[in-house]
Amino acid sequence: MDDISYTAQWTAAVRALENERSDGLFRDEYARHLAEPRGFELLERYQGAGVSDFVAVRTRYIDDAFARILAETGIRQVVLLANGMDVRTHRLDWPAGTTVYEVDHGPLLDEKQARLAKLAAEPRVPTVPIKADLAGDWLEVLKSGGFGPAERTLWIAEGLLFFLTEEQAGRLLDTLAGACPSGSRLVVDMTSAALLRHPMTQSFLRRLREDGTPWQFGTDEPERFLAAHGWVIQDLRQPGEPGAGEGRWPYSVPPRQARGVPRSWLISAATADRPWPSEMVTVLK
Amino acid sequence: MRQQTTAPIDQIKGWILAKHENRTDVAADEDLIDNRLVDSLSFVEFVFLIQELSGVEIDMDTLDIGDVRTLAAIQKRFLAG
Repeated sequence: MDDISYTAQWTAAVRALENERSDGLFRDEYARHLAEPRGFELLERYQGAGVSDFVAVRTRYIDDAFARILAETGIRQVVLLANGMDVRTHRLDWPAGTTVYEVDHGPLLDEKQARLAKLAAEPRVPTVPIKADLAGDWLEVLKSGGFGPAERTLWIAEGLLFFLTEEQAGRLLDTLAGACPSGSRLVVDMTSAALLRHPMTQSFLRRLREDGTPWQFGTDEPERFLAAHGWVIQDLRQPGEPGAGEGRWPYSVPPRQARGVPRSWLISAATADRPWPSEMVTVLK
Repeated sequence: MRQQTTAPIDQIKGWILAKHENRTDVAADEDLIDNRLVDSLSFVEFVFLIQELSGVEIDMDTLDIGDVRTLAAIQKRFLAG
């Protein structure tokens, strides 16, 4: 498995520990089996930056966003982008008629499938593995796997954008917006640009760089960045706010107007009405 | 706990101790960051507290981390005089 796949084991380790808390934000019975061999080692290596609490809060936020969006919109086509060792297909309840596509590296998908098979774990929703590299022409692979570009879609990009460059992140969001009709949705998390340059985060960021999985992109203006790439934010929260780990997040929530603050963003967005005027795109960029 | 007469530096120490129940004291020269008494997320609240107690406006973008690394440094840079 490549380096990004080890980060999938790391977040699985976080979910395993959360599963074992009596006040856990969610249950994930499979996570401990999916975190091997390196997840717990990386958890130790990257501790101290609030990342474990963030992954727990993010997982629950996205679980809730799933349920809400599928119920409210009637969307039944879901694409999980580079979701690693995430097993929402196995642990969440899904509306009848839903199909989930999981886009990730082939070796990772095979490994996850093999481990889940050993546990006799069955998905609760029809699930199509799409073995593709998000840096390549993954959309064509997705379409040939049965994805319907005319059908409204819920895209999930969890713990993904900070591993990309700003240009790659923007292009990915453009691709998502262009690959589905109006009324589609996106759930995504991002980090603030300030987090990437803050002196207190440098030892954590250095370890990620040393491990070949640097965080490269963050924005202090998530509304503006998403709007420039075809998405309108419907819900934006910071960890610790109501609906995003309030009562569990062990830190105060920094006010939005405070500058230079390391933050994380939890976001639900919808496709912008199209076609949008080109002059507007220029202004937003 | 003394309310109004607690020195600002002791209020900062109290804030740290409240977050680390296993600790009973913080030495003046103890590195708060290396010892993980303050991490990147609690740091924001920590700096707001120093700002509030000292009356000195602190710009997060230009802050020298060395000025807040120990209680002694905080005393010297923000609370002296």
